[in-house]
Amino acid sequence: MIKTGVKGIDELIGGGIPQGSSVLYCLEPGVDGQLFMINTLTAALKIGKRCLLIIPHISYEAFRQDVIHLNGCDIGNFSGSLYIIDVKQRMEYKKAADSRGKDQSYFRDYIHHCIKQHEIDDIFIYADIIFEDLGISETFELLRDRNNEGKVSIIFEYLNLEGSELMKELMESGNFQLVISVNSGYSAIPFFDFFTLEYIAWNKMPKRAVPYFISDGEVIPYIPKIVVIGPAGSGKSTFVSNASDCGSSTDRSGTTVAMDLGWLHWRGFEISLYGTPGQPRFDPIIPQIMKNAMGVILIIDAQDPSSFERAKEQVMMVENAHIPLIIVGNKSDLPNSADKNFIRKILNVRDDVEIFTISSKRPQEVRGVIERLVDQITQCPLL
Amino acid sequence: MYIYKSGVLAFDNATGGLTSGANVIILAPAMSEAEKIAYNLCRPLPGEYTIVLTTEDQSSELIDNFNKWGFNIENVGLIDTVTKVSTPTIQDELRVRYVGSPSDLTGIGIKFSKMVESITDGHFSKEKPARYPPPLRLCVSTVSTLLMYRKLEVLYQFLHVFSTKLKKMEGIGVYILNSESFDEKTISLLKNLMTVAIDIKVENDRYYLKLNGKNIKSLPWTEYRFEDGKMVVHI
Repeated sequence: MIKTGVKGIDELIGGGIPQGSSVLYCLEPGVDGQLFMINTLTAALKIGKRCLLIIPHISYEAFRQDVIHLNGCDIGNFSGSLYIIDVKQRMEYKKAADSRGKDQSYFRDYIHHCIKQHEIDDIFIYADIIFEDLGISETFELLRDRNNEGKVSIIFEYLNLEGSELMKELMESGNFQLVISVNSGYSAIPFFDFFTLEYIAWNKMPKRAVPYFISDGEVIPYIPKIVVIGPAGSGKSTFVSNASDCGSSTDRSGTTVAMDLGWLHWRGFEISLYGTPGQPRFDPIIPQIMKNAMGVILIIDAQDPSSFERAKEQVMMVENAHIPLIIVGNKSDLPNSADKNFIRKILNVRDDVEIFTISSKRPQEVRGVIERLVDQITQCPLL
Repeated sequence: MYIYKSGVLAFDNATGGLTSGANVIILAPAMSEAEKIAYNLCRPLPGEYTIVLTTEDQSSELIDNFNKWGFNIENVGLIDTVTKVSTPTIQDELRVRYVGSPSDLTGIGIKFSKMVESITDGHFSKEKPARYPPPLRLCVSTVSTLLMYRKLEVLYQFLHVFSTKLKKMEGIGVYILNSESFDEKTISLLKNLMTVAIDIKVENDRYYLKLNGKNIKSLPWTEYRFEDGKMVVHI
């Protein structure tokens, strides 16, 4: 198995890429997505994999410098396990061939030679020009022929100029076990990038887009908004504070009057938490805060039955958003607190809504809730 | 709608200034200094920005020329696909970004997006943009070189995506194509993406241009020359 080099993606796909898989990183023009392939390459090299790198668009030295610049890794340090076909070899094989058939045989023989002689584990291909030279299906055919009985993983980066139609065609070809598309949210200017796990052969997972940003050579998926809601005094501020690596709260006389904000880095994801004020006079702002949220945590004081009616109102406010929802019965460490069944009955929530009983003073229990919501956001079918 | 004036009187009179989303193709034989025409059309006016994709000249040469011709160099960005071929260790700067070769369309797209991002973020230059989104002129010098590296269909798709994004940004594009090196089919396909075509010819060491396009006054063959890099059209 090799890692993708993006922690958040490895989490989503069950730990990494099984050996012998074909992976496609499909990039929209202009999207800052080069690090996906580069980080997979350097992750493979770092665990001692023997890699063949096919970069027909650039010289090895220029590519090496790009990788140093982008993620800080000098692939020159892996010269014993990294074999290259760069623009120079491509020009040679183009010159050597005077027909398409010869082109293919030269390329096939060269790859075959590399795989056999150097016992290659993984092939990394910048596919645009190779597909252009040889054709998409022909490239797969010859890679399949020489795939050393399916033991070699093949990772492609491809610039998708044709959009969703080509994407569909490539997925239906059956040539890939993992397809990740990388796109950009674009209006007048590019304002955020996101990747979509389009297909995973070894893991039944719905298609889902996840925004990401790039920091210090890493692709960091992020969940831009999880909203924490609940009646006044239910423990939302404590929850946000104990869930977060850093954050801030606007309190007046011990109650939240504006918002609690928290940020945390969790399982490779960057997450922002928005804790809302619980008093009814703030209800008009809740729909605005809920806009573009990816998940909701509704916290109730499990020891205070008088707040359940208010909690019911709030369930109705968030259920219509059709995003993952978790209910937390807080203060469950105290005597006479309501249990999960009672909470479910009294709030009358959907069966698929999970209920946790915790104490928000215990960071470990708080993180357990966050972990489950992240799973729901990234892995569960759209509601 | 924002109007892009070039400062070349005859051109501005004929077009009324280019509207956002306009694409101009310059069809010129070799040695006709078509680049100079493109740079004249892409010279940034106050509050405007220009991005030049260069596939033939090194960015350092272009910067020298732009300085000589009095461009506001602070508002000009270059995507250089030439220098890195001979100097692989060269690193990106704020206004010059390097791509490994003209065949690397992924790299070109990324460097373009990053440059646009830094313009819109306000990191690119001290001058405030004339409006939002910032007015942007893109110059591709030249499409001919890109065509030598990539197939026509692929390049057409790439330029189509590129010009669509440019349109969303309300910018304009100017593209140079050597009219002698490519067949009618190639020229006609690329013209599909354009709104204005400038044909160039050279006769007895004199330069002539002809202007055609959508919603503009056509200009018949008209002589032009350059004075200190500035284009002067004889009317």
